Amino acid sequence: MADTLFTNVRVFDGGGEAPFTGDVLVQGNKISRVVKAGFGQSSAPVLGARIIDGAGAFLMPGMIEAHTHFSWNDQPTLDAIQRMPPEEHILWCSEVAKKYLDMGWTSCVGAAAAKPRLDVVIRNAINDGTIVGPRYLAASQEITVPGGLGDTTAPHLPQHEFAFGAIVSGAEEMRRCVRMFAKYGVDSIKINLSGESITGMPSEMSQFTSEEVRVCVEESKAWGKRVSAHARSSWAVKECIKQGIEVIYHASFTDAEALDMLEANKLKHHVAPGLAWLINTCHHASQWGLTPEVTRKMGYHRELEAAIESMKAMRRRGIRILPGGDYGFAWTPHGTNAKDLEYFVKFVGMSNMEALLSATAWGGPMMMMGKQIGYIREGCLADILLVDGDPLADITVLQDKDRILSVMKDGVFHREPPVGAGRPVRSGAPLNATRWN
Amino acid sequence: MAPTLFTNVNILEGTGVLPYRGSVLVEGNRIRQVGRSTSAITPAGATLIDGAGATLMPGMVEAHTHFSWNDAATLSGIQTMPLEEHVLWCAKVAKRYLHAGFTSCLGAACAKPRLDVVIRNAINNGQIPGPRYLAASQEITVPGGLGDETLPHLPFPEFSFGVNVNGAEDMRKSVRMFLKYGVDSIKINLSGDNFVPGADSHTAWMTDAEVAAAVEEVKMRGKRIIVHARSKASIQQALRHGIELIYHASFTDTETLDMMEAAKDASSWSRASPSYTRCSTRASNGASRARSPPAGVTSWSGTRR
Repeated sequence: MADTLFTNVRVFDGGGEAPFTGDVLVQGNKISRVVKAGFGQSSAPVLGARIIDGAGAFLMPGMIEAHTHFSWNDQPTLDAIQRMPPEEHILWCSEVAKKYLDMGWTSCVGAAAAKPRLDVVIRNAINDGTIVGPRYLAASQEITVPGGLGDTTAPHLPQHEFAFGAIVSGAEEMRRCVRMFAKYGVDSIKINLSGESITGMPSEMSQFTSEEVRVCVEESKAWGKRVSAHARSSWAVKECIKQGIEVIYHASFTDAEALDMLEANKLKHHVAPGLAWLINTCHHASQWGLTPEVTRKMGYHRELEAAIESMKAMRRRGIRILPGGDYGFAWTPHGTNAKDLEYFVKFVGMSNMEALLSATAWGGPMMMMGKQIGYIREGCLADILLVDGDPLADITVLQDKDRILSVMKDGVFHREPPVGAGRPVRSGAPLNATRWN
Repeated sequence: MAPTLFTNVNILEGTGVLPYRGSVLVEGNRIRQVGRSTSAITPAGATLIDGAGATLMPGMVEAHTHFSWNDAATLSGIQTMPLEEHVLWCAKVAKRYLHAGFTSCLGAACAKPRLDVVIRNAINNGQIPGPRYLAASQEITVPGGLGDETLPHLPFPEFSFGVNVNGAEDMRKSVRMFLKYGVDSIKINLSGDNFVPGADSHTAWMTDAEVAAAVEEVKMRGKRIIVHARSKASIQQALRHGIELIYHASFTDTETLDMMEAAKDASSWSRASPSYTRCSTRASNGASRARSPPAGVTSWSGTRR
């Protein structure tokens, strides 16, 4: 693997400061040197390193998606996701994994899979090079209760193969279920603590007894697994904090008590609201019969308002909010994930800088990788994007694949920068080049 | 897609004619022109590829392909790969065949019911790269026969490499299931194989009633039936039932060879897919390979038009 020297780039290093012009050297899978330099002024080439003249392009850390469902298949219902046969489903996941990398997401946190082993198999296949995809944390199916969010069985078709989630009732069934997913090799266990209005169980309603939740967390921790929760209701958010559920998805409805608890524990938990789902379900799903009138009746408009208020309150309290919007439904197709950053700016009041940090520096702990990713700093892993444009001036440029000039993961280009057309890429220096020696 | 012009290539037509210098024009998905001129005029917009004397030949056709065999040492080692990994394995292998120059492959059986069908569909809809592919069923066999990997204390069908049937009606049901899944061909094992304890290559086990039921179902739906047949008895059984694709044919005698020769041009078998090779042998050892006629000469395995 050739080393790579990016010259003439504007470096956004994940630290929160304005970008600077400089060079970034990648050796092996790590960033080994970051230096400031005047524009147009190239630093000394490194022996054997391929030189990429960024011509002023924006260089930033690969983005981290906090709420990913590779196995959601861009369909309008949970049932339609579940009905895809496993053979087709695994190929679908493989295709989606590549799409995320294409769009600059070099790390993704699995938030639940539609069949027991999909996430684990895809993670393993990425890691052993069978397929192409981002760094990935594999999730279990959603664990739910009979009649809860994710129970797609019908009264006359009670077979568990019809269920989108894994259905348990009682502490011992929960324990058995968690053990099964731990056996399969997941990184995290997903539990649905609240409802979801579209399924008929309102988002403000909660499911599970505290004892079932306790057993879920206890057993997950015993196996060294992380727990993440679908938690839209206020009770569900509080339950996450009380029981030590690290990842809180949605958190639409929060009362003062929930916010106080979150603030007091803000370094222990990660919050990803998944605003894309709410916004698009409210306003862009008419084609699938979900007109604004219908979704208003379901309660989604009220929830969207509540969620925006919750996120604003969290932002004021210094609670970090992460992108990842439940993409993979018909009206939130995979690959459009960078819209979350636009939503953060537009609805939550974040600056472009904050939105960019939420997708980079803040994501490292979410990936359980600390500061190894999310930064352009010496010693960090070389997950690097080269962007045509300035996301700090216009956050939407990250939604456009053509503007993401290149994607590097772990020191290897997934997509190389284009050659020519004002963005010259010089070929690798021959080892005996006298000009530099 | 721009047309492609290959110039300065040695053209191997595939007709038995010796290679000659020339140029080949591809437009869309067709070969439009094959010329003996080495300085052909490039059509506007065409991508010009100077072959510099390289041999240009048809993509190769593999007649006995198992994408789902996973380079394991035993059938059980193939069978115990979980479904999800197995699909990704097949996708990887499909690409490998294409890279090795095989632009068409005939599936000869897969290790789980839908693997071949799913891979064929994924290739055809552009989801994965791979050769043109005909999807096969699992191997249909009998209890104790080649492909029955169940154990006495683990009799579950999921443990079995092939599908076990007993009797004509069981066969019919199994064939119908695979046809429902969308296979192009049904594979049945008419003989054993030397690496299977108690069911060596000379074993033949299916009743004519079972084979007839399979053939009837397959022909009714316009699909192809293909067989694993190493022994004389099994080859003769295949010929009796008008089965068009015989794999292996290791053990033959004069009588069997006479029957094969008499059947080689039989057109009554070819309704389902007249453009494909009707009969194909796959030599399994040096001895049987030596019996094959030299390449380029009319042969048992040659293509007829």
